[in-house]
Amino acid sequence: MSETPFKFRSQQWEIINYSRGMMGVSAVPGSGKTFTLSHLAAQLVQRITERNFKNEREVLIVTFTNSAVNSFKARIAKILKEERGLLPYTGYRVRTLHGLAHDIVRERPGLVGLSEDFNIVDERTSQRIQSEAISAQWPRWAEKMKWYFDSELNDQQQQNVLRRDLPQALEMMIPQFISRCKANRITPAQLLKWVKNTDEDWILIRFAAAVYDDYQRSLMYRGAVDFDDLVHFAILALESEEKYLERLRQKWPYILEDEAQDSSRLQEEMLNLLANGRNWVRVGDTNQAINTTFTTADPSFLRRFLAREDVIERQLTTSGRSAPKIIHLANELLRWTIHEHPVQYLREQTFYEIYIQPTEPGDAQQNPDDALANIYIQPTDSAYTPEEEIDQVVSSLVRWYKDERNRVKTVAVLVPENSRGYQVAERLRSLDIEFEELLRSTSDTRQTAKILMLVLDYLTDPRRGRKLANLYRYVWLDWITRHEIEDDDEHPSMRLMRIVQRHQQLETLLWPVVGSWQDELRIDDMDVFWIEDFERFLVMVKRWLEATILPIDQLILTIGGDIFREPTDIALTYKIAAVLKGIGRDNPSYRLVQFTEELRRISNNERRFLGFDDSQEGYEPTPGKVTISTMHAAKGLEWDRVYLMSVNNYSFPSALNNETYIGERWFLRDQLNLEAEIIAQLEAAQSGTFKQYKLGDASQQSRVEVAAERLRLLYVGITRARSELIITWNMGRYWDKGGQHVKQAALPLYHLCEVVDNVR
Amino acid sequence: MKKFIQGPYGTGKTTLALQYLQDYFADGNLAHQLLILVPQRTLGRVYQQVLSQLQYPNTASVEVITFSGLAQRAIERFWPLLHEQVGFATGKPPIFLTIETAQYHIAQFVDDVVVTGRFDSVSVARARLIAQSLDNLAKAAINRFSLEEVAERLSSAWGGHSSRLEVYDAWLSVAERFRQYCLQHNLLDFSLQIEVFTQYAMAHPLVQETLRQRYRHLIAENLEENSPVVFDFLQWMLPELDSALLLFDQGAGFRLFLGAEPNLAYQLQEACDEVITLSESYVQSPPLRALEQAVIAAFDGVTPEELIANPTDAFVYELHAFYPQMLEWAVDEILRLVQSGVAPSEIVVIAPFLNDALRFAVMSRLEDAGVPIASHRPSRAIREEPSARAMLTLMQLVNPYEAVLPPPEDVANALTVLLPDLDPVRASLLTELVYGIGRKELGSFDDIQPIMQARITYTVGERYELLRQWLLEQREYVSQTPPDHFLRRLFGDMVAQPGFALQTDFDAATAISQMVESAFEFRRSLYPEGTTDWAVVWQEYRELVTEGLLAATYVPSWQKELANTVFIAPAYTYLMRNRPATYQFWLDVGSPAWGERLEQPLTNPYVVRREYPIGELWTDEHEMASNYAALRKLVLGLIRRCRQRIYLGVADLGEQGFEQRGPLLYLFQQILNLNTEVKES
Repeated sequence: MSETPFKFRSQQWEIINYSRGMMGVSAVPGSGKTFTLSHLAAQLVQRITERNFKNEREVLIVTFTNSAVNSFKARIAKILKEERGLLPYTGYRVRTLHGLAHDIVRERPGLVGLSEDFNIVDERTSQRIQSEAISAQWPRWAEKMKWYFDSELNDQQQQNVLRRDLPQALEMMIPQFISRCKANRITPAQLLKWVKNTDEDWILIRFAAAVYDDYQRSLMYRGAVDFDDLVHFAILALESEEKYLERLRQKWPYILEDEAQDSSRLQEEMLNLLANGRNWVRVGDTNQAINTTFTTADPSFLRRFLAREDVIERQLTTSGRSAPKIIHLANELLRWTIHEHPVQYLREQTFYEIYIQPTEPGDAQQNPDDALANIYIQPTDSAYTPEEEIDQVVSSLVRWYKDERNRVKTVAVLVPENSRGYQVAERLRSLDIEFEELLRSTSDTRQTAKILMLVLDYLTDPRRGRKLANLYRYVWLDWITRHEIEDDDEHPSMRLMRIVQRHQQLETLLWPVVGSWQDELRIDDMDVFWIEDFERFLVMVKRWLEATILPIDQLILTIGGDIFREPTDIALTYKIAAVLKGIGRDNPSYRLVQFTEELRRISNNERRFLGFDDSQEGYEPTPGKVTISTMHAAKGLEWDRVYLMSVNNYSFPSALNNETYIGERWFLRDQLNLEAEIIAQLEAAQSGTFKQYKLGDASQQSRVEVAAERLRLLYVGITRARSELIITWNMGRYWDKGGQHVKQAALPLYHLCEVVDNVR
Repeated sequence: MKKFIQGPYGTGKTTLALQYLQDYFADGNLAHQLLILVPQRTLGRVYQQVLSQLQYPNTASVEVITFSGLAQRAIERFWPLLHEQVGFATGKPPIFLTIETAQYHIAQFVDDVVVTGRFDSVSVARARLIAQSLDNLAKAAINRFSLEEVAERLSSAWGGHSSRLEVYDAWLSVAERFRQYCLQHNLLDFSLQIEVFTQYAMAHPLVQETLRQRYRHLIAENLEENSPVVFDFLQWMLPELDSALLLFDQGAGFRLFLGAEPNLAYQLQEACDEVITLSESYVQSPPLRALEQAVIAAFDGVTPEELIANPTDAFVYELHAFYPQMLEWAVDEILRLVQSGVAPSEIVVIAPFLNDALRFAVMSRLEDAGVPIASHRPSRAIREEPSARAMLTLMQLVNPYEAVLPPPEDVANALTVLLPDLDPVRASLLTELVYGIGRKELGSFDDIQPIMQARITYTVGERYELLRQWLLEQREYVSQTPPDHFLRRLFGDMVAQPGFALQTDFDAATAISQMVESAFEFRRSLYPEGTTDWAVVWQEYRELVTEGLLAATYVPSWQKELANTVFIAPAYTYLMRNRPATYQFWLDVGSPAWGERLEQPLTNPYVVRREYPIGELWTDEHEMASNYAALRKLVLGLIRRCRQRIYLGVADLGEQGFEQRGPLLYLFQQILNLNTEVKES
């Protein structure tokens, strides 16, 4: 191995020089994982360059999110071009698990019984089909479900639960259940057979099996698959055709897997098949595994891999991201959990004992100075109500925001759930503090869909002045012409907008029979520029109205072609047109009104689809603006100052007796967690160990698993901060009811407060 | 004299055939004794044009026909001799099914099997199950396989999960039940037409005698695109003919998925007196010929021998991040060419698949810029044409049997399409007033407030009233009127009359007449004896159109192609047009679809072939080898049809947002690398 160039640390250089075999890399937060992996990929691309187009080989990189795909792709291209003098974008393939599965299935769909034009239903459609299946099955099962009820419920409560609460709970549970069936590669027919003659405590799974059967049949009629099928089918294709598998093994001689701690059972299975014991590099941080609850993702896959004898283990332990103080705090959370947590399971199963090391002097990326760093943790004996917590955080943010020196710095408020983030966002909005939300993604897809929705919203109701005025303002002025207009009521454009808003007979503007629209509006005194500008707007609207007789995809392309100039927006318009066309095919009775509603769903992030989901290369915080994000969405990002909110024992439980858990519903007996129970039933049915299943055990087990994941989430939250970290907590929504409704600080905070005090 | 003329595209084979045609008449031969056999009708056009220009009598009685056309004609003529022998239930006239009506009839048997769960291991939309079921039947017929043999071939070639075997078996029961049903009702789908002709008609001495007496001379164009039964027929015919000209395009055989068997075609040279080989291209420029050489070498995995020119001069390419950027680039380049004086007809735009959105986007931009462009079909199926949809809406409105009324949006759209001067805003107002909540039929214009009448305008009101009155009158006769009659009358008596919007709309008229045709075929094959209540049939027809089972095809627009237009088509369609171009635009070069076969889980075009050994497993190696062979044919076919330059449009992300890394992209990359290496050395 040559001498380490300046820009790499020796640990990184060692990895970049990998040449073959199985390698596992444990990377701590901020240790330059993406950077290292990109350089490794570029090195391998150069190694495998082929001269015969039929034997084209690629380095396969599998990562977790679409934005990571884009980011990897661009980084590797840059290295290939600038540092290695090779053609960018060839010789490698970066995919999410679903993207890779799609590639595999798409190349040989017939192997798994699909046509080449198979349809992938998005989450929204999938949920709708499941919902229909639940409604169809529900009447047959409703009464039997009472078996799970808390015996304290009176008749009225029972009826309410049957009518409302339980169906709602099932709608949340069924997608996870079906997903798990597919992850375990169980078909509806197998499942129905297994559970056919089970006792009454198996009612839940019998119901779910019937729904699964209906759902799958419904997909079949559509010639469609859902996201989970895609993965399952990819493995099936590889297993059913040995020579296809062999060809792909030749094509992808190297597999690099990023975020391997989030690897699911199927992902591991698929990559294992492809790697075939040859060249597989798995990189991850099991301490940041935060996607495990009710999924088959499990950090133990990576841990077991690292422990294998044929695997070379490497570590990336040096991180220049945070100030040493913050690194110390994160390390302490880890050490305390492993050695001092009161629950044995959590001591053993939460973290892997690997500590973050600050950088050595002379490192290319130095840690922020400890002298300027700061940590504040709300004392464990000083409780806030949820409102008070927001007050405290927001007033601190206001001070930060008003300080000119902070214009170049970044700040984030990280919350455990979206709903809490919305409350913070609302408060900041009322105080005119600029912020960006990572709660509902504000990606291009959403924006493009929103603009198209505004247009369709008018076209569905073409006589409504208010809607035409909205179109003029938000699409024409803000988006198409981008005139910079002061917020002035007397401005000609605002005047035009008001006139249109009140106008009762829009046909006289758009298609005047006599005279012209100007006569109609009496705007002789207006600047001719604005009159001509409005004329152009009307011409465009007429064109769109005339296009409403076209099929939906062609209408969308027509509108998009007039509005968008940016390649990303135009590409998204194409994608949206294709998605809507597919929806229209499934629902022949859909008209513009329903398509407008679908666009609303896309713009609200309720409907997501494969490909383009997030065409950005990932989020970059803007200095001077506040980012509001969930802790989950913040993974991989960093800010100068970070607020972690709601760190109480409800959001971050520790598997102790006085805690309540999300997912344990009030109307069920014995604190049952239906999601956990049904998955335990499924596992028992699959392994044929019906007798070993005991109602309630899975609910208890899920508590410790949730607690472990939440501890890791806290670790992720802490390691987002570069220089300043503020941790607060509150007494929970129902604090005024007293007793166990009053939440405490999360258990680890008791220790972390001491750590901070000692440092001081 | 029987001649077998072979050579790649562009070497003058068809020119020789046209010369033969001239000589044929000059020698005083009889027109009706000449048979010109073409694999598909479009390939006969060049002969029809030449024939129409020749100054000899009766040139119109030369038969330019496809093999299935020949079969249909023979069956009609000899039906009394054949029907009983084949097993048809009655001697009533045969009913030939179109693809649409065949799909309709087989659908019931497919549905019966779907509910039993026997198709559960494939996830294929219903329409595809139907189409693939028919496809297997057709393959059986063109290869002269029994239905059992098709199922056996598919099963024994399948090496994947055993659940698929049940699917093939299920297909067999669908096919057998459909076949029985056809026999009972005198229906002949494509497969039965071929079977009756090849197995019964051709075996009958009278038919044999008639054919031999009638046809003494033959031209067979694009021989390689024909299926095995055609070669059987030619083997039988050739020895008896006075003269024959068989034209064989080396390197072609593009219609493999439709049963083309170039290897079998090639063997026919043994039945000829002379074999003529042509090799010099009259089409390609030297760089294109060099490109051809380089492509062949790349496929053969060898370094090309001395190239006659630089192959990279034959093409230009541009990489784009997104798909629409690539389209934009192609359109801009086409405009540039046209502005520099290139005739639009010298330009073709090709993609592996042409979906409606792509066609619409490219065509509308070129049309906006004033460049005429034609496609092998328009971007909308008949049922999606606004004029056809308007007709369907009125059909639903008039029929008292319909339980559900059309939504107001549909009525407003129909009125906008049919009434001139009615804009969408007024149409929405008019619809609300005459077809608002609680109404079950269109109200009168006279009953609405004068102020509203004025807003809508009286001219529109007057025409609306005419249409409404006419529709009201029709309500009484729905039960007695077949749907095609109603559609024809609505068009002829009403909306194509002066004062209505479709009077001068040629495209709309074509779409509607196609729809009438589809309704007619539907009635003819389903209700040949009529029915007591047509209202039910109206609804049935309308629903089938909405589901996409009927009127899902496209208005033929081949007449337009002849004009001076840019032509846009899927790659294979373009190849089968036999039309060279000076500039070719290949869109979506990164798509893996170039050369890839359509995946059809119920069938496999390679396995259901005579030359595929029964019992041999179909593996990924076969798949890849056949894909590369198809890609090779396709690419060379295109290059040989190009005179000057190929424009390669590459988008990193395809239309659906997926990264594109198909083999064609890598092929060109290799050719570019080759060039770099040559330069460097």
